[in-house]
Amino acid sequence: MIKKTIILFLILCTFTLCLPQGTRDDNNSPWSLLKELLIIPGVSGAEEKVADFIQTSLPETLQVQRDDMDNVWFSAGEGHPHLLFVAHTDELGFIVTGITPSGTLKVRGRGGFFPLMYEGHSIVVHTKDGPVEGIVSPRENYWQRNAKSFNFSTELLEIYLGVSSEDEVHKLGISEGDPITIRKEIVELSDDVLASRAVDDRAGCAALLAAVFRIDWTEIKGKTVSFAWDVQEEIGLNGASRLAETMDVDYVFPVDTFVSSDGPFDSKRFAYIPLGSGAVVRAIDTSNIAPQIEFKKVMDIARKNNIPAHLGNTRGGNDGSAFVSSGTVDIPLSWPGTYSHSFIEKIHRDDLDALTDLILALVKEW
Amino acid sequence: MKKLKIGIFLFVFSFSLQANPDDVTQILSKIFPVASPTGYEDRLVSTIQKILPAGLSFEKDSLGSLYFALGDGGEHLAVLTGIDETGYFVSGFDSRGYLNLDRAVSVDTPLFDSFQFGHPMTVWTSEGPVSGVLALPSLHIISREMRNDLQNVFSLENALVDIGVSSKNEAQAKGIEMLDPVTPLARISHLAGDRKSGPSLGTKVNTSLLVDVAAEVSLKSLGQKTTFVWMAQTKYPARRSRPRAALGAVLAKKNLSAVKFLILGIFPLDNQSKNQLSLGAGPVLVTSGGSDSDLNTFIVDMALRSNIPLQRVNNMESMLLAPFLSSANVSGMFLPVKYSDTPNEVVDFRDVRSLVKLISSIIQ
Repeated sequence: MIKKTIILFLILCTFTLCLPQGTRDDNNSPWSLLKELLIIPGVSGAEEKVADFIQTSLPETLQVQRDDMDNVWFSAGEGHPHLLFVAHTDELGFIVTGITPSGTLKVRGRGGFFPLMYEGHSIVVHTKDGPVEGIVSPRENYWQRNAKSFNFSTELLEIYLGVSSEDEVHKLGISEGDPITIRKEIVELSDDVLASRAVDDRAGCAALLAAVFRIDWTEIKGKTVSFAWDVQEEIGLNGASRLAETMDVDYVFPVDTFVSSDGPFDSKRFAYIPLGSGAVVRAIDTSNIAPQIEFKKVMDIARKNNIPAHLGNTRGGNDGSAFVSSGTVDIPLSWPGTYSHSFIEKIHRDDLDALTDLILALVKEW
Repeated sequence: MKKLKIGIFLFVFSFSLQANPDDVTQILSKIFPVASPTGYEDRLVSTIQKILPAGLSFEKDSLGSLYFALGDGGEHLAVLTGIDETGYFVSGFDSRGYLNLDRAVSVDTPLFDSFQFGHPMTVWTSEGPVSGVLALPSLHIISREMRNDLQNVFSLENALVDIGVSSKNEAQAKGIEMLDPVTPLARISHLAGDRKSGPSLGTKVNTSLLVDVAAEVSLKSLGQKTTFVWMAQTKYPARRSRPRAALGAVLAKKNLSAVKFLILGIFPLDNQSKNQLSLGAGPVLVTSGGSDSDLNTFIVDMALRSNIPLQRVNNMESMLLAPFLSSANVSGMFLPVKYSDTPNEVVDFRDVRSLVKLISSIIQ
């Protein structure tokens, strides 16, 4: 009996050790990393905790750098072409701009969203002493019949914390400049589909991080490959602009959402790539038109490696566009996502896996 | 000397009967996550029965309201609270797998549906809860017309629950059936100053504190008959009733032979701001005009003697109180709630503790 148990144990150990790196269920799978990354607060301009997570997750053998903005990156290989894969760590939210005498907070939005979505909902103020919960106050006349005629804008938002004086707010450890996020929920719609705030662009961060663990970085020859996790994309590509000043890049592959019209309210005239159908080359968006010859090359590599991938055009900008005026070719890589810039940004696991596979193939074959 | 001894005994006895207000938080943690939209209170009623001590003799009426009585003799007292929350049910299946929603009751807050857009929802199937989200347009690709009319886009007409499937068959394979209840995801936020918030928190707190009090006094011997009632369908108006009255309350009144009625309700602070009441300043004793009932006089006196803060309002219209107004001895004890009927109803737990103390004292 004991002998049988030992044999069974050894078989199990052998099987576990033989699992390829990055399989669907291990901790370094894109899906698992995404779930870890989603919960970390990182409002534009306050990405430190996300940067910490990424930096400490990277293998020690890599020469990881970090600047004063909290951009994190590393490079391997040498010479040209120089490929840069970049995802942004920041997310939408607010920062505290003032404290009223009645103990509420005035805020300024970071990034673009419908302020209406926040009305009456729970938020978290991330103070130096830790998180403090609050509520975005509903409009003053929310209970009246004419409430619907109100123009609900970010400037009019106030945060209620449960206190009634400025002094009490200070005692909670809250200061002007503190970042605010919605209280996040990861809604698992199935084993393979989730909805949450900050899928844009933690999914890109997760895909890059998962790819890191599956690449033998000593084998990068005849080119330079850089991976970067940059900041402040949502408020003007500020992190990417800083990187563009210092990096001499031939090809930039920003990894970010392809806003798909696969939602029930969206016109299917463009951007219709259903969730679950694979990776996306975001060939045309609001900030960039990728050269045809280059995006076709990406599609050829995907095809050759049996990676489901689609071409599409959508709206929105990407970090790569900050490099274009330096002569860099910008080829955005994506997954199809719906409900963009909301608390329920939706993503399919197969798309994230395909995106990670595409990054790996491009590192190897470009 | 004998009077003093009796006095000391009564004093000690009264405190031994007090429910523990801290238990309300414990009970609330079990009550709060259980959905109870009007007409779908059965899950919550089962939960209440499980929390209360074993061996109690429960009864239910045709709406599903839960009753149990303790003690004997004296003037029969009934203590009642509504347990239904505003929620939705599945009213149809979209061919793309989205769920249509409807409400059985009207809401006082015109933005109630608008608040839910872009947020998580739970569908309560017979096989268990199913997670979903209430779909909204994508910001980057929304049409100009829709963007300019967002307020109207976020209405019940456009409410579609996305449960991560792409066909009606897949939705049904998840166990979802027509008319299954649907509620916003239930999470409590812990605010500063002993305040908490969450969807339908006022109702869930009242439900919990009455369970707390009932559980405590069920272990004691009472000198008067006391009936506890957790009423279903109190947001649904009874037909042919003037003034407008809550259906669950009308039926409870009909079923009860009590001579004193203590009704627990919610006092929405924001739309009653003319009354200058506030959170944390004590429960609100509501009267509907005329002179105070004996029970009101007793409560005011009790609060004064026990140093329990109490706020008062006269002439408040309430569907919950309406069926009882014909009785001579009725009191409405309402819990002050800020941001009523929003995703975060705010309750001050100092008010909860005061309410628990008062109810316990009244029952003695």
